[in-house]
Amino acid sequence: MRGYLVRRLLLAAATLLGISMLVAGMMRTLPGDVVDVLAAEAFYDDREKDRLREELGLEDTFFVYYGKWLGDALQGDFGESLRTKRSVGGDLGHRLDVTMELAILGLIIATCISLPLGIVAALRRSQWPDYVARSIAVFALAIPGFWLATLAVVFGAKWFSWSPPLGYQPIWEAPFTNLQQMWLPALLFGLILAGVQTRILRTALLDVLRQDYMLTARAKGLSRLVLLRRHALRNSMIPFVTVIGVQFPVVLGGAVVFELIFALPGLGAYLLDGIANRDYVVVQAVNVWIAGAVIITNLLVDVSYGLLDPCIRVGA
Amino acid sequence: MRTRRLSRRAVLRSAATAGVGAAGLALVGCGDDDDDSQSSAAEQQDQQDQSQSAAPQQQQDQTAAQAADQADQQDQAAQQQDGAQQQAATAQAQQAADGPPIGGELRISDTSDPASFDGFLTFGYKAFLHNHQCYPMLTQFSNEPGQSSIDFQPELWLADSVEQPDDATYVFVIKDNAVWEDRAPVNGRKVTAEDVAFSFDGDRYAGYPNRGAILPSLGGVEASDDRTVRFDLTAPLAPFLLYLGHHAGPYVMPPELLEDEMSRQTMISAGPFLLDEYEPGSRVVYKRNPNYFNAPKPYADSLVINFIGDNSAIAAAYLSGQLNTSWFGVAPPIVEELENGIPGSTWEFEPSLVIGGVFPDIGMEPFTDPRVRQAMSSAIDRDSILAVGGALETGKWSTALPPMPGWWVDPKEDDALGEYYRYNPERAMQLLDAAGIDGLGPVPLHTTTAYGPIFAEQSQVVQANLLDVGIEVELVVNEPTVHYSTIFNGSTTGVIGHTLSVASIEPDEALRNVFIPDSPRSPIPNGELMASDARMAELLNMQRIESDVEARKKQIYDLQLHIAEQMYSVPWVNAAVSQIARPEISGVQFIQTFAPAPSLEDMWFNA
Repeated sequence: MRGYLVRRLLLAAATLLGISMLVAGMMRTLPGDVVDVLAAEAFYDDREKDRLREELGLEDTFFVYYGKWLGDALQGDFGESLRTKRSVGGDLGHRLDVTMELAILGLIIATCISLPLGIVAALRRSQWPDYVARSIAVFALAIPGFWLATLAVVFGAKWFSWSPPLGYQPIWEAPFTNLQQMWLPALLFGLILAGVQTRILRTALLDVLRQDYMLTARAKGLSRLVLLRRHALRNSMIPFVTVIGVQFPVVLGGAVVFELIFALPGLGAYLLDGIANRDYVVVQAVNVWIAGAVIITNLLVDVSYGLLDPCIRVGA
Repeated sequence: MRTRRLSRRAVLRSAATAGVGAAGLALVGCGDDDDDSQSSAAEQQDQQDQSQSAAPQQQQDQTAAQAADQADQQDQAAQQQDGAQQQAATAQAQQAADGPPIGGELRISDTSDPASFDGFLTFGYKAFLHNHQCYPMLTQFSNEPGQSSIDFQPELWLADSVEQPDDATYVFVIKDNAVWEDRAPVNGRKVTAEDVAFSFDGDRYAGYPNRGAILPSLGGVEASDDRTVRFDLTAPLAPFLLYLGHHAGPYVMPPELLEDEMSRQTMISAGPFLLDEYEPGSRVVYKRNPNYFNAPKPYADSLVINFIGDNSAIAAAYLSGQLNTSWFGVAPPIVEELENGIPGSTWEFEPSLVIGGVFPDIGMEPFTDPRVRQAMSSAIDRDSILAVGGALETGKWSTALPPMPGWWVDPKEDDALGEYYRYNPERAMQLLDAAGIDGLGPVPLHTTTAYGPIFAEQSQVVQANLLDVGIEVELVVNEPTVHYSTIFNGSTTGVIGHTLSVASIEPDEALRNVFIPDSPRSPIPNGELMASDARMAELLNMQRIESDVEARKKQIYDLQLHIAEQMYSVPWVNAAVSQIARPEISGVQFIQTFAPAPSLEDMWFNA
């Protein structure tokens, strides 16, 4: 297990290195740079643009620029935003809280919705509960998140004169305000994510319920509840957990829509601003963090297989 | 106490109400006039009545009694209403005498953070909105009841008085009670004339992005003593006092704050509010400055500027009371929805003052010929463009100027100008024929997503209009960064650009931004070719130094006409900008700039 973890972590480091290099290279191929953005705001002439490019280190070759950035990043210094001159590490810290909370709450709510729906759909296959559960899942899959969020915000305000409090209060500072701010985006986000989870769980459960050992257990007199809890659910959890792991990058990417509509200062909005302003430092740092979160999540998912199914030995 | 200013729609609505009232008054008046005929009619009626039976007479008596009771009740109701109105008027008079109440948290929104809090380092309207809360200027835009939000007039702000010994010299004495906030490194010291002079200091001001307004006329700035600052101009500058209060600054900042670029991250205030908290990406919180030199303003205890990028979220926050007011960026249909949602909202539409249009490369054949550029203008149906944005009723056509009250001449009402801007495809084709053009293109027409989806749709209208007269253009849609670094500043040649430029408050600023040949703000590709136009250069200089308003208006009209003839750019339309405020706040007097500070410090919460 330890060797497996070490190998995965080494692989993760190589992946992060590759991603940061790829992102840095791709940002440089985009037309325009941060100086163009600043110059458009400030009406700089060509001479002033050249001076600014030199000041910001944009005249360096790609490898010199990347090398400097990597050296600082390895020491935990993600630099200063080229546009705002604020510490990227500091900004990331604030914004990561928002996005991670939204993502985690969304996944928890999605799981809370999809577990009962998936189980009911599988146990009552081709009966009305199954049709209802599948309809909800298809609805969640088909409906665009931004549309649902916009409707919720606008109609909440129009009909009930209510919308979530503006801004973001960390949960450890003001838990009540935080929940007021986060419950609606998290609920809608969870509903969207629940579609895939419900369908995967139903399919996995149906597959397990058809197995011979389930019939044997039933014949031996195990109750349906025990059968479901001890055998069926546990064995169908592997694809379910895998889906949650696969959804995590989607969750981080999809959070940007909810952050914009609910005016939450998260990582998605920060990344979008960074791309629009050609702020390489911000874009690289955010991508590295997101890539890191995805790699760690997938590692946790892989490790959880062993816990869910003792037959599986990670690293074996 | 301020009164609500009436927008166009409000005027129409009031006119409708007034029409009903006038009709009622007319009817009453008719009754008065006809007294004699009425009395003779009554006599006739009496005679008829006498011949009628007793039963109907009794019925008529009952009806008359009921009518009399009803009239009594109406009188009582009217008396009660009069009493209520008197009480309300008394309360208002009392409040006016006492001054507006102080308190409450004023909440507004902007679409995103400023890049920094220092307009010298990162110029942009998002910085000015914040600068205006903390950094004063010698003058600012006045904010009088009934004043249009696009009618900019200067009034003294930090300055206590101003004298003008001659046409090119101004001497300001700044307010004695103006002090910086009690924080290091300034520690509550007085605002001095040196602070003011520092904002216009040689190298520093020479690098200021908005320098174009004053710098070409600035001879020197000198602090004579702690409170007196003298401006020597190289020539008279007609809009000088207005430029000193320009929303794009320069604001007066304490020089100490520039050490280690502290000014990027924080502000030390002498203005109406003190910077209390900044949460990047979320909001900036200000608290009332108790030592503000214009005390008892501001009336709100605190000010929160939330960053909300989505229109639906702005609307929802407004409807739910989390925003008290909202400025630019709310589309007209949404404003109507908001107004219906919150009865009693104060709102206003005015045309935007952003310059925009279609900018062909004037160095590229055949666009070197003014007739071809004029043909483009006549080919464009400006009303169709306004209709795409839902602003047909409220929008205006631009000339070389956006619709600035007093200076801009409406091409729809002026035949000489109208000839160049009216939709007239036949004239366009005649001009192309005269220029020897029989079909043109395809030429790339660069548009952008920077101004929202409607702008790109409007570009398609332009494309279709031009095709109708034989000019084929291919749309190239640029994302914002590419647009700002190419089309926005006219640096891409060989194309036709379609862009908005900067908002202006003064005709001199609007005209010089676009038509000075070396202007870094001009979207005209190869704009330096305009240097050969001596007539335009002469008019541009004359209007800048002319102090007689009527003479200057004539010069600016001549400029509008001359530029229309040359058609260096093909101006298009100015859609409406909306501003709305909830009924719980009073003192709302919109100013259509990017730094509506005079409005903010004047607003108060109803008791």
